Amino acid sequence: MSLPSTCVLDACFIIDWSRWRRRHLIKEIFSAGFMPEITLREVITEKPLRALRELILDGWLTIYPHFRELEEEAVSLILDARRDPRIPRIDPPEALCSILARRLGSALLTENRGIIRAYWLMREKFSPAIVLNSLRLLAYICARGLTPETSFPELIEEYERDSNHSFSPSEVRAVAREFGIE
Amino acid sequence: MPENSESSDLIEEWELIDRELRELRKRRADWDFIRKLPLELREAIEVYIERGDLREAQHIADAPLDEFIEVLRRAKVWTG
Repeated sequence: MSLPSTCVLDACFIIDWSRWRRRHLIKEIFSAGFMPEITLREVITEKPLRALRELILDGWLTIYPHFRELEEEAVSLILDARRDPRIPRIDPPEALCSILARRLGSALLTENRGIIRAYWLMREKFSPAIVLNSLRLLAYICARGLTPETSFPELIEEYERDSNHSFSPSEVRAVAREFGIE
Repeated sequence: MPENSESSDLIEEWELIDRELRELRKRRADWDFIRKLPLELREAIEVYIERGDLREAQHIADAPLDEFIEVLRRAKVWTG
């Protein structure tokens, strides 16, 4: 699997990722990251704010200003998703992340299951962006050999411990199969 | 939209994942911590444990996303 060279960060992703001891690996995968202003405003606790500040100071992260044209597309995505009962709730910050990722042809990094499921059910609304949660990004890191001393199950255990975020064992197995790291 | 068979495989996979995560949240929940929370937060966490819908639960809690995730973490129910 190849990833775009840039990514868009959703708040729920960075809130967890910032707690992981190897969070710096994101800079080895993507040459630059973007975050819409409205999404940045959702981050208010110390650890993720510190991580974001470091990424900005490194020149890696750019905060994307608010544009009304993105907002109209985001509202359209929210309404389309609400019509499908299989898709959990999507709010404007993550919808704007999706629209920005589509505009930039970036990877959207999010833990929001509404966005993740909308992506799988309505690909045309996201293309050429791709959507990844931390589990898939960890699998990509492992498959690329960026943590050669750590197996995928060990990496998952480490991430779950650092972030207090638990994954579904079935999804972990499915993602390991998908990335060829069983 | 994926082809019908692809879509129904996906839905089955999601149902399994949702079921697993719900069981995980129920099994790990720190009820001593949850019971001491204000009513709105307690209700929001119960909804999250049952449905796993972060935004829905966050709106019930009427709390900022970042702080609400921190409460889920402390309640040992933060899954995804």
